[in-house]
Amino acid sequence: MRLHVLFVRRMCREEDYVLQEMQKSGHRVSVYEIQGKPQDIQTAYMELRSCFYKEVYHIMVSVNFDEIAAYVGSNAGVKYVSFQYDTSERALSSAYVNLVSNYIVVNELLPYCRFQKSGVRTVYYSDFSIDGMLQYVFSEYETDIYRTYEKLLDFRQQAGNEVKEDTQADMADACGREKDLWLCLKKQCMDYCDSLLSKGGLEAWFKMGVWLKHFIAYEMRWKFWEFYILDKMVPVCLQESDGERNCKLLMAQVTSVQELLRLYFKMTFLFRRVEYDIAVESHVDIISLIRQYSLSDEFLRMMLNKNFVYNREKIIARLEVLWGENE
Amino acid sequence: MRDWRYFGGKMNENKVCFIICVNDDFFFDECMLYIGQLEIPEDIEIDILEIRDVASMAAGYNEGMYGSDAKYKIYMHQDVFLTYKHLLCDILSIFRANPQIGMIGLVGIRRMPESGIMWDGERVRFGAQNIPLEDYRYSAERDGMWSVEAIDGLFMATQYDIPWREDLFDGWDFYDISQSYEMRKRGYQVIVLCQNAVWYIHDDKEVLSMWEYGKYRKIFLEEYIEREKRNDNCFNDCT
Repeated sequence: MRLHVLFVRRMCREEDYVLQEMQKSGHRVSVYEIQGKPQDIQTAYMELRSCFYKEVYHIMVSVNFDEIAAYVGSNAGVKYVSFQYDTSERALSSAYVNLVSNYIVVNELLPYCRFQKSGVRTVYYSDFSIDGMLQYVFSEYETDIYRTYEKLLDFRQQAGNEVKEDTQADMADACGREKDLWLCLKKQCMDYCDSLLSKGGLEAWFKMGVWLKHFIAYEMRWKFWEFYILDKMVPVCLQESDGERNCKLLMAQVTSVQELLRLYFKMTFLFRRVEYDIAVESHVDIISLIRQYSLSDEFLRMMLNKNFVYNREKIIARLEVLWGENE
Repeated sequence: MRDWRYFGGKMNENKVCFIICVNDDFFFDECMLYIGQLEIPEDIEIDILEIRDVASMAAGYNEGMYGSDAKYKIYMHQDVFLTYKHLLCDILSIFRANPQIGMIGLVGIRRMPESGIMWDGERVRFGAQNIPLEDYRYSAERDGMWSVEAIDGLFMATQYDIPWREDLFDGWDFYDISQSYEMRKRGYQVIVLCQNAVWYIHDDKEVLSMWEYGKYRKIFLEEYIEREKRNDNCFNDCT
């Protein structure tokens, strides 16, 4: 099998390591390297796609920043294409979003939904051994999540076929098993988000953004409030980074989902206390929290707009007075 | 189950007891802040029962109900923050003036859909106006109230103790609708006050984590709707 690997920019030794691993596992590797600005990724990708178009059955792009990033599957032996790019630069985010929005993405589990929609899931499995692919492509966290999600989908399919008689016992049993799977999935996702947050930085939030947008969005965020809130926080963090390379990012301050959720609710509660005159010094606490976490305008705006805060003007006026006194 | 009444206790007509099932102190503490801000009528004593490690909402509420001698009890969620400071005064005056009213809620449904799914029906809460809280005071004559078939469990104020059906609803769903039906079964009215301001905030985080909703919906339909159709569940059985 020949492996076609495209590096948009070769930035680190990890890529060489990946190549070595590929070769060790018996792949013949063709390396393509494209120089250029990060925003050229899309163009590079399109060029590659057109080169292999006749051979390529469909294209899978991964945006895993640590490992191989993109794959090409074909009937003619092209199996993988890898993108690696420098994510520390702001310009990448638009390219990233384009990639994620327009192509089948493997490494973030999003593809799963897309495979089902596009009907290429069968091909995917016929070309790759699932175990080999999982170990090769996914991190340990991702593999666990992927497997649980598989179980959940299988369970649903089975339950749909088997539970013909809508008896109470059947329903209770089915609910219990589905609940167990969802709770397992939740724990795995939370652990994964924790691991991303503990690393900090933009990459972690990009990854969480992709997960929340595509994989987790439709079910997880409605089943578990933690993901609903994360889903609100991610765009804020991405906005925070807009146009600045070394901006003060909320994500640099928060190192676990639990901490993030506490911050979210603490700030929500404080806003409301000011609004309803519940505690005298709440606005002072807000200022302290803003300073402690270097909270941005984007974050505060989101908090004011999305949390049953009705009298925003009152809160802003209180804060402005205090802020002015402290400046 | 502890019940002070077995020992000859009398209901304290000048007492309100908040009964709250608690599993998150962060939210409960915030909830308490708002309760602490409520205006309390002079003759009224306030008690708060936090019920922890309960098997179900109905079981927890039964524990609270039997454990308090307060005539007026307010069963509410830990993540509800009462912003309308005159709430207690208004509710008590409604209860005292209307002995036929058994339970007051802040959200309810006028007619329960045949599906048994509360959200499918016409929910009532707000009036036509949206008045800033500082300029607002509820008036039963001016604002009015709705007679409803069921209220949401986020806030349930009662003036009569009716056992919660923990025998049927041993989870986290339908305990509220069931209690509304139990009240009405005994001839009491269940009402929702028409709110022309924001009376509360509900950070309802778990609303869609209702794993066993289908199971309890079936139990509810069988216990209250089907039996009513067969006329063996007397809603005319006035207490």
